[in-house]
Amino acid sequence: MSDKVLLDYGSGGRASQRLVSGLFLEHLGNEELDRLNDAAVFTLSGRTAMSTDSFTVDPIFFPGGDIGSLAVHGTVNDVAMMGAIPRYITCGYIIEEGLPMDDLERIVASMGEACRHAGVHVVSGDTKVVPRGAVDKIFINTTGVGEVIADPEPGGDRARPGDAVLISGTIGDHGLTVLGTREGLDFEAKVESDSAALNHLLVRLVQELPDVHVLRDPTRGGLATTLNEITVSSNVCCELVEDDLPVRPEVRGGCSLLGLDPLYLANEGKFICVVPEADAEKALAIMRADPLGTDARRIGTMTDANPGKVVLVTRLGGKRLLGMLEGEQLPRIC
Amino acid sequence: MSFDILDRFGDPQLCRNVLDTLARELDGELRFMEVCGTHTVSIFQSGLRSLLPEGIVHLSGPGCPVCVTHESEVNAFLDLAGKDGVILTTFGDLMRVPGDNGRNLKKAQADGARVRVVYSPFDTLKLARENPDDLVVFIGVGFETTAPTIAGTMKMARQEGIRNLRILCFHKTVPTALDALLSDQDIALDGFILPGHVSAVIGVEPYRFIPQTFGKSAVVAGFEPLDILEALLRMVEWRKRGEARVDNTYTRIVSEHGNSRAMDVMYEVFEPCDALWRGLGLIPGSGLEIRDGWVEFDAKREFDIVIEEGPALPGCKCGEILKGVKRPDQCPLFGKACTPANPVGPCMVSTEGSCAAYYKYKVD
Amino acid sequence: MCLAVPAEVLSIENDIAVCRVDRGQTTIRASLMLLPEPPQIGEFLIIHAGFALNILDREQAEESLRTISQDANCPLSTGTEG
Repeated sequence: MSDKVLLDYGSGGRASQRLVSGLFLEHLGNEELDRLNDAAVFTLSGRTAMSTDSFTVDPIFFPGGDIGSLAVHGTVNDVAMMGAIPRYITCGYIIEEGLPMDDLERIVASMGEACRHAGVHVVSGDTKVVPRGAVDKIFINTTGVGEVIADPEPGGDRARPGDAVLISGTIGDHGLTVLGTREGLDFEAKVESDSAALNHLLVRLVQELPDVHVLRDPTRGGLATTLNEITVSSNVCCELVEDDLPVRPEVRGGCSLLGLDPLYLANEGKFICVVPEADAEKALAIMRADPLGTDARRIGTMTDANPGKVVLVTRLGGKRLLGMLEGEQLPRIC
Repeated sequence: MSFDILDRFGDPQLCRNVLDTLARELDGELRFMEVCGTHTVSIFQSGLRSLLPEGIVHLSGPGCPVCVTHESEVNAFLDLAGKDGVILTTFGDLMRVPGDNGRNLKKAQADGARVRVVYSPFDTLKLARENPDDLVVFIGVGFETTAPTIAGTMKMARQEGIRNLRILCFHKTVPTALDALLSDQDIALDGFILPGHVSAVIGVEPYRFIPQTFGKSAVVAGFEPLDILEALLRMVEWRKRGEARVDNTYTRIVSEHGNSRAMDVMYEVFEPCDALWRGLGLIPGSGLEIRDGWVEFDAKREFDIVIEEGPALPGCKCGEILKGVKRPDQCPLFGKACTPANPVGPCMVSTEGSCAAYYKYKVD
Repeated sequence: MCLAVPAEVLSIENDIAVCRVDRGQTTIRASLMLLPEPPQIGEFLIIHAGFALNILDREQAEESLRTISQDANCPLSTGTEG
């Protein structure tokens, strides 16, 4: 194969076949995928959760992960947030011609590794190569399905006044890592993306606690935006305690420098968990027993004070509103 | 020195005690204005605003350089975006500032204009080196804190022989604006909290006219909750004694005469000029322009840019809000026609604008 | 306006200081060309848009805290480090 991805590799001809068998099957292959039929055939029983997401992260490699593993984690997590066991995923690659073949291999290998870790099979895939400039290096879409084991399943509209609001770990790590690796920002933060598959932890959680009200991953828009979605859907108020929010000093430092708010930075390996007050301690214990939840904390409570709003109680005991993120956060100097 | 000392300026217990003292000492309404967006944000973000005694009325003045960048200046840089051979560089703050016909830099970027967000003007040197066939134009906004960093960048560019860097200079100076503001009949306030980081450069001396000419108090303050509370406490005490004074409570950063080196660099490259402020209009001597000796960097001259007063935005009360005459929620457009997603006036544009802060942080 | 952050000088080379922001390991490079005199390693700078604007004065910081404590009739709480 050429050392760069050429348009030929997306032609559907022999070049495509070589790419699929030599690279994709090599790293992602399994019983279903290896048959290379037009569609995958598999059996799922009972209620099914399904989710799709497209990944366009820039840069494609970042400390703690890359676009390949992220594309698995993102979709696996979305399925698992419904109290489901993710089983199968599909992947669609759109590749800019000229992408170094080594980069593509790194990405596909990383995707394979992430699938093994999460226990999901890639059962269908697609590869397109587009002319230079038509996409930025590589975009990946993944769709995942899984069996719902929670009954009723957690949902953004199920938060109730009095519920405890928990977070599985530190916030803002992924967002700051990605920003920090972009060009033009002359700072260095010893942070890594938290990109990880949370499904094993989430499955344990819903198995041991049948009444988890909400599970959500605060990805783009960050903790504050996701909590706003929940409070609007559930018509409750979320009161957060500033001192209880887990933020790494590296992330705090980077944010102060760039004028950003960690509450609005993306996370890729964290989840918000809303449970009845009585279950809070048990939920935290389950989360902390998992390596992906060691920093789990209670960060607030749902109330009926200002329905649809997220309010932060500051260190000084004052209050401020946490609204939705308006658009992409930009570094600022004033 | 350690981070611990700095953290103590946000000590919750100490803050509560100062708040108690403030409430006890307050002898009637105290209207204060901060003229620095970072103070605006700090007051809201720390939750201080919800804790201040009721008699303390907080007004946000014209202290956000993005907000006071005049609409004709905004249109000038938007016109430059998308010009052949031009790479526009800017601080992230300016990306969403609206110009005429709903234009902004984000949209220009989507239309193919080469616009790069930088953290430091220094980063534009690298861009200029890497794109020798293009003109790299940096939009220079900001007060005396930022102007020296641009001047320093220009000096570096000259030293390195970089020829394709231009500066679109819209810098403004704070004391002249305060003078104009105080000369306005409308304005009703007891004192100013002065911008700590502008003062780090210019010192305290340039503010002496505030009590001398106008009989108002002013305190240079830092940005931690205790810095702000201490400044308020001083103002309350002086008023009780019937005094108007200028003082500096940010002595860990600000000295009486400021940073002479930064001032030298700034005035080596720039000289005072008249400037248009959004919402305030023309203020003589309140801007900075590139000196003749540095003309090769001047984007205004290169592209024949003329900045002129245009028609006011209909319904927009930003002018009165910047003067502290109106509160953001007293503007008929606030939260309705004018929101952070769709800002009409400058105060809603920047995260540090008084309307944006009011909209974003205030719990009803 | 004018976001500027305190940061601790870790090393200096060619009029550029590598500084630590907050307690973590986030560092930033800051030009020293606007400072009247060069800082020492371990001193704190206030940094705006990639340039150091001033050196933080530790004694003044402590003095301010003392004044505030007196004003508040509140004994100065002791931090983990003086």
